[in-house]
Amino acid sequence: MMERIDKINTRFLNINYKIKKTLGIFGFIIPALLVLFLIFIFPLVNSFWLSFHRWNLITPPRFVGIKNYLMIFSDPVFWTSMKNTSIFSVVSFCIEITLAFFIAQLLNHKEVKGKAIWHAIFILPMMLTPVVLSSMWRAYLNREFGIANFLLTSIHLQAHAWTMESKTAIWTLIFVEVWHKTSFFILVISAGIVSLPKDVFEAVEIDGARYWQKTRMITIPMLTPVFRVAGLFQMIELIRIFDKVYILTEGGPGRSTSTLSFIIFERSFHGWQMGWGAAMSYLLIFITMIVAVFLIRGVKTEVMR
Amino acid sequence: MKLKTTLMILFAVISIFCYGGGQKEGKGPTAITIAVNVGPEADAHHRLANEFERQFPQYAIIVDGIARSVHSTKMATLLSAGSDIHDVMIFSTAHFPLWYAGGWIEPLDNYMNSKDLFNTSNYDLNDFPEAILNIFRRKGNLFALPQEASAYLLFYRKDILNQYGIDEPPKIGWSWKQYISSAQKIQKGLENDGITDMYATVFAGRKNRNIAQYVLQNVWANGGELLDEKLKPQLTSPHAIEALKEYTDQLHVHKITPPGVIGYAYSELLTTLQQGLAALGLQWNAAAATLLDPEKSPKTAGKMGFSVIPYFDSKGPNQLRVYPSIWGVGISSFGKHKEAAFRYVVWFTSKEIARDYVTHGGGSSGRSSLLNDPQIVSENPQYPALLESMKYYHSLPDIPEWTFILEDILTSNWNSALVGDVTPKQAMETANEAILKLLEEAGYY
Amino acid sequence: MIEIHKSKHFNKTTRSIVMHFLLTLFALFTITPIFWMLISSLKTPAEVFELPPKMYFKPTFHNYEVLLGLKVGEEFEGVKESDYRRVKSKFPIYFLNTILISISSSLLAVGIGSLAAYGLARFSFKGRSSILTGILLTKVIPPIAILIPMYTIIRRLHLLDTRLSLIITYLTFNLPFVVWTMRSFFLELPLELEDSALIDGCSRLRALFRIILPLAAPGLVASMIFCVVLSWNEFLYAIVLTGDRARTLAPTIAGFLTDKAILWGRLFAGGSIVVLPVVLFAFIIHKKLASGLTFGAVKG
Repeated sequence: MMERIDKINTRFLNINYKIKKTLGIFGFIIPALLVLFLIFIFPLVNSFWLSFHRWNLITPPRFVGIKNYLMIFSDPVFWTSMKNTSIFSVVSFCIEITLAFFIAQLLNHKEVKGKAIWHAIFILPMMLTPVVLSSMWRAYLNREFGIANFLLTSIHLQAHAWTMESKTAIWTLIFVEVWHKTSFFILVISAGIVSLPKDVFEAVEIDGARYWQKTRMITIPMLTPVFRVAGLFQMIELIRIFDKVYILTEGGPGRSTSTLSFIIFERSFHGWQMGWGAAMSYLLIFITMIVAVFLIRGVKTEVMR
Repeated sequence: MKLKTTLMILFAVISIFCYGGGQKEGKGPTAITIAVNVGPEADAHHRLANEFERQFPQYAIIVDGIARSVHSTKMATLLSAGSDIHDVMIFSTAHFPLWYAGGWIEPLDNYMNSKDLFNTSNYDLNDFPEAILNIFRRKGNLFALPQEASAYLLFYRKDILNQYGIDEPPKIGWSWKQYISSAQKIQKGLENDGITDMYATVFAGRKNRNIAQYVLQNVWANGGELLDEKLKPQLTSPHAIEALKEYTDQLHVHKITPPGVIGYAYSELLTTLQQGLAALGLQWNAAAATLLDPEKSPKTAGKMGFSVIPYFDSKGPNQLRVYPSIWGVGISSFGKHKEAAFRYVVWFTSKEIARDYVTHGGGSSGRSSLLNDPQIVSENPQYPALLESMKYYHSLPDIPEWTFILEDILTSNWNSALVGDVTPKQAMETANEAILKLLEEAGYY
Repeated sequence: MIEIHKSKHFNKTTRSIVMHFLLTLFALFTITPIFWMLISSLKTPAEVFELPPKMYFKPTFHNYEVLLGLKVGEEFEGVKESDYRRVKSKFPIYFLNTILISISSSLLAVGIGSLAAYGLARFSFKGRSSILTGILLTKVIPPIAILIPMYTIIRRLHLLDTRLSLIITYLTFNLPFVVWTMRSFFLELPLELEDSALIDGCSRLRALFRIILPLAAPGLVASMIFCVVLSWNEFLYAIVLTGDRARTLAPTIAGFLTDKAILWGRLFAGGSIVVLPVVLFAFIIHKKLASGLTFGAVKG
């Protein structure tokens, strides 16, 4: 009899414990989830529903099934923008992360003086309002009265209409993007380097490791989680690039810098085809998710720790 | 612990202060809110608001200036949701087809028939050229009163024309051939004189609506049309292709323009003329104000002349057509103070206030009496040419898809042709195809 | 054992010089465009685009005076003194709005986000990866796609043209980044860290505050900076959701790109003013970052 009561008691305590444990865990997570869910659930559902309709703001939405999606795949403008966005994202990403990695390492080297000042300088571009910085570069890159061409011609290099020639336009965008966002990576990687345990480095240095060995064997692997997350978010931003395109090139010349976000904007707010815009947005979400999953394939291993 | 609590208290305090804003309803003057594109259009409303409040103390004016790049997006977002925030709206020919189709603008005729709201003789509706009023008329109803009417003009440096022995254009303007040959003469002259940074002419080539607007004028002047009565695109006609080719030839064949025109919009055109880097220019009349101001443009003040844009020789000066860029003031269908809004609309576009608008650099207002006024003309020598241009305003397609056709299809294809990626013929064919597809999917055929 | 390091071509001084040189090069690359913008903001409209550019010129503070509301812009010349109130620049108010909105939404994002990140880093449970993926999904949504539904929500809540509307919006935009970033920082810290405290009877929350957060401070700082920068510079939603009262700086600056002219002077001046507080903020916070936190806690 006592045994049975004991058993019931322990089971009850177990359940109680489990509930407490779950609440404990979820207590941490619930606020964030609540905020995101409440704000985003309506727009997400609304957008998804809209992507199967035709809506131009003035007549009620008309159901068209998957026609929007089919239209997108058969539209050459879509494929051009896929190409543009891919080139832009991949190239910018590689340049940014490589440049930032070396600079962050330099910055945190023990022999470098004035760390705080260097940091403050290097993170400046990231702080600028995108509208301001795009307009600024638009002025500098002007063919006739921009300062960039002036400096180039004074050292006998060829002047170009950087943002408007089909060969140079996308590279100009990449240039401005790198100028702008390398600072983001510098910040994050620097924070990561600072958190690395010094004793591991010391031990390895005593054994006579050189710079490249240290970097390859220790720094990069230990910073990988930082790279992954920062890289993931920057990649998402790169795929979604809009502000700079709008101000610097307006998707031109022709369509050589029209990116995915840009054509969504054009169709939605110049063409008033909200259904097409919603479908394209979901496609963009889908593409971005694939890239994201690809980038963080290592997440499962992280979770195991 | 202390740090944590102080932070939390600080944060809570900040949050309380952050509620801020929102509309205040209550006693006092009725608020009339005006939605307007930031820039010279809005400035006049800011400037004159106090004057209105003085004349009509029962009203208070709130001017909501919206940045140009998002103006169309924001207004469409608001109006499609039936927002009643704004009473008065300032919009252009670019917005009108959609807003009208959506029923977002209130027709003015009922209010105009009311004697105590509208004084017909004082206002003098006939002072506005019919062409302008018709832009905002649908099925006999008027939906806006004009605030400003603009047009592309041919800008020229009188001193440079003089220097190379070229006569100024006559009232009907130059023909395109005359324009090109004058430009070539100037270009040769500049080269002979060793001037390398100045070019004969400059025009808009950037991938934005400017190039589409201008080339469209060429298409019309050459006897072509964008859409026929059945809304089928007509861009593959030889007239249209030739019109585009003449435009791009300026850069590629005649080489009379700075190579950077492929990236030029209004702002760069203005700077080019302002810095004395071009002798001729195909530019909006609004630039004249800056170029005539000795403080702002010391290099060009007193030397600028203005004429109607070039017509095409094959069709003659009467076939000239000008792109209608007109800003009108109208009433929101959702606003709560429509009568008050109407009063404002009428007041702002009345003779006295329009005069104030024009004399303070607001633009041309559209009233022919003002554009003929000797005192105003003496300070604004571009107005006679502008008045002449207004005779040739051509109507635009009355479909909401028009914005996309202009800003996207025509713009990107014609810019491609200018940049040299495709020939004018290919550009026209691609554009034609795209318009056909667009209107077909929209259900017009 | 003494190893002869053949690789040590450079002695300490050469290495130091090279490093500092490289840093200076990149610093110039970074700062010259911004410096040029600052200089241009002190020039008259005619001087801004003159080539060759004047290096010696008389600086004028006219642009700043107009922005700060001390003077009235040229387009309002001749306006009566009594009407100044209406046409004066409201830049200082918008500045204040921007500061309030950025800091509040960032504090909230970092607070709520770190909490969630801790839960997702330390505990394993069913559905963890789906929650993580879900959070990522909200980050991936293109802002333009949900503009109209978001506007409808804010309108229904009667929050149009209020600072709160933007605080909420930016909170949701920033949360995913904070969660993912802080999670990766938390994962770096060994599990044993809290064990000693938990055994002593500390609650999870307390352990988080006392032990984990100080060690993850660089991550907190980076997240905070990122959140502030995003809220400070966000433009699309700021324009659509706010009007005259709660407007922030980004829409104000976008307003200088008008149809008829780009008001370069004010744009540059505005850009210069806008960037200063953010830099100051980062500089101050960064002192903490650069002070170098080690893993001393584990050893003793």
